[in-house]
Amino acid sequence: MDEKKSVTTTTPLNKTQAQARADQVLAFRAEQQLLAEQGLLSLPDDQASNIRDYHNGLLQQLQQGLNIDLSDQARHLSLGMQIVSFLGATALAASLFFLFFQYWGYFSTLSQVALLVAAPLLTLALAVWLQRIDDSGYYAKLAALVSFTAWVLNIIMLGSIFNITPSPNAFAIFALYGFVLAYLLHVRLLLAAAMLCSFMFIGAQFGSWMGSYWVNAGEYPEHFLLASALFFLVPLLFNSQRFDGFAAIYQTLSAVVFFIAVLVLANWGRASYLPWSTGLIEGVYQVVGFAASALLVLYGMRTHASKLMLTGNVFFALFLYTKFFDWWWDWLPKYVFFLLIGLTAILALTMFNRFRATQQSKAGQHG
Amino acid sequence: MANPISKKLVWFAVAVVVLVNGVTFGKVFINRSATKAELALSERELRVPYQYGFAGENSGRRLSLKWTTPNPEPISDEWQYQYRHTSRNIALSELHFASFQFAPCQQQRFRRQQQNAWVLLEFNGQSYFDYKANAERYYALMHQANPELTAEVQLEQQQRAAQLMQTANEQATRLYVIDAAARPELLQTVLASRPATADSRLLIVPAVIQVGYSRCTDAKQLNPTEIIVSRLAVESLYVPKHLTQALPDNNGDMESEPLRATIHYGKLHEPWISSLE
Repeated sequence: MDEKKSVTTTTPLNKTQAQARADQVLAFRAEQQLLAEQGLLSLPDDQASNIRDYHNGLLQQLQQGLNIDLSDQARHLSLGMQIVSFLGATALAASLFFLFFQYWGYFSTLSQVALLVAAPLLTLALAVWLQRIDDSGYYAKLAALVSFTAWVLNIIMLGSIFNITPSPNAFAIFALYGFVLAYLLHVRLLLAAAMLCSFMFIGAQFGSWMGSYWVNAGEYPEHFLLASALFFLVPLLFNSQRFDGFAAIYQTLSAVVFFIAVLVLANWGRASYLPWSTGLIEGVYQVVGFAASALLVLYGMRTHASKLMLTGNVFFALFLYTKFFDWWWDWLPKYVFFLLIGLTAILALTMFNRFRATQQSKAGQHG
Repeated sequence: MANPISKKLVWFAVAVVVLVNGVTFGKVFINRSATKAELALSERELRVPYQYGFAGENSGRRLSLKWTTPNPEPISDEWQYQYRHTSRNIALSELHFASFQFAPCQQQRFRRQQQNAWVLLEFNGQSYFDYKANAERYYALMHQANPELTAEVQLEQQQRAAQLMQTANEQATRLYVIDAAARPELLQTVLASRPATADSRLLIVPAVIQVGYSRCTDAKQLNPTEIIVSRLAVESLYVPKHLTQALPDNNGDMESEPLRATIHYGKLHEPWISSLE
């Protein structure tokens, strides 16, 4: 460790890639030690020393630059920290809301306005400062979430204080600030929040164009189909490799919104704008649901996106089971109904198992 | 933070906060730069909104507008009439109803058909006087001898009529939504032709309306142009700190507490409270 070699990587890695690289190094070391103990591998001392120094330098660089975990204990602690920081951010956001509501009546309008405008700016400055001094990034992300909450509070309370007519444009403003903070401080939770605000805004705009009041946008699921498809394409159109996990958030959240909309329409065609009978509308959306979820599973396998595969699987099962419910719940004895569900699950398990075996044998041949 | 993209994003975030707040204050300034209408409301038209158990968590104070729509039906002895102030239906002219372009009725199709609208608001005007006159006529009618009824029943009716008249004179709101259309220009002609007195006020404000419940049912012939005024776009008004002394401490029923509030409607049809006594 004393003589660290300068390590250069060909392309800048994101955190997931860096963690995979570190895991590879640690696995190599463990295997090398095992082989050496069994007398199967004996590297010359100078070569072993060179490799060790190179790996030490690499691990240190990755750890310092991207705060990766170098042991299982550290990995478990990191997961715990992520959960705690999410809970902390939610609690701090709620606290900020209630704090303001508890005392805002005691301030003059000028003081209220000053506080509301200053809050997102001060918390933004805090987040940027924390990012500089804290390598883990957890505290900066926490401050970013509080800044986003302060921004939402700013807009809502100004509307309340000055009796401004409510408008869906507020969601666009929330989304804009959310996206900026998400990209500035690499906060996936904020990216998800900004996407949800965008869905609300786009849905409300579609609702207004279709002649309804924007608050009722959620009652017409077709408002969200185009927006979810566009968000799904974002990682394909723009390279977001620098932003670890952003592509997964874009695609998984879009897919979830898309499938929820299709699932509602597949079972309640009355909420559709299509000028067909409700039976036909429901049938069309059922086909769309089955086809799209199966395609998502295939796409997830091809791109090695496990979350997308899981989303596709879950929604395919939901579409299937809601159809089973429609067909059989009323006229089959319940034990037969649940037996059929169980049998389809076993069938799916068998198919997945066979597919897994094929994949394993391919991997073995490549090895 | 040495990354130039990060620096740009920080400045962009600051610009978003400053610009959005600037535009908001600009709109507030434009709205309040001129008063389109000034209403002197009392506890009859104002109430403290219900806070769903969060009154203890919220130190801010608000007042909600109480309004109603004209009732074309004659006053009856039915108990429902006592609750008529909660009704929010209006039958529109065909022109005004058509301006909303409601989607045609379709079987097995869900349509809430709620949309933005402009409504004509009348304070202390013809609609209120009609209601008061109706209550007085009803009171006079109930005090005429009716040999078909027993003395006990007649006394009960007279008491109810007296109560109704007292409500009309002292408690009922004088704020009425009398017309609605998709565009404010359509309401201007109604506003110009509406009889007005020195104490009455007419103004056009944004609201949310929905089509009448009977439109897509067999009863549609009865009220083919009926709509329901769901709410005014701004129905709850913030009370600034320097005016809160005039409000009762409790957040409950305010009807017994005398109150005088001056409400202004600005250029952008958004209201504010300028005085409270």
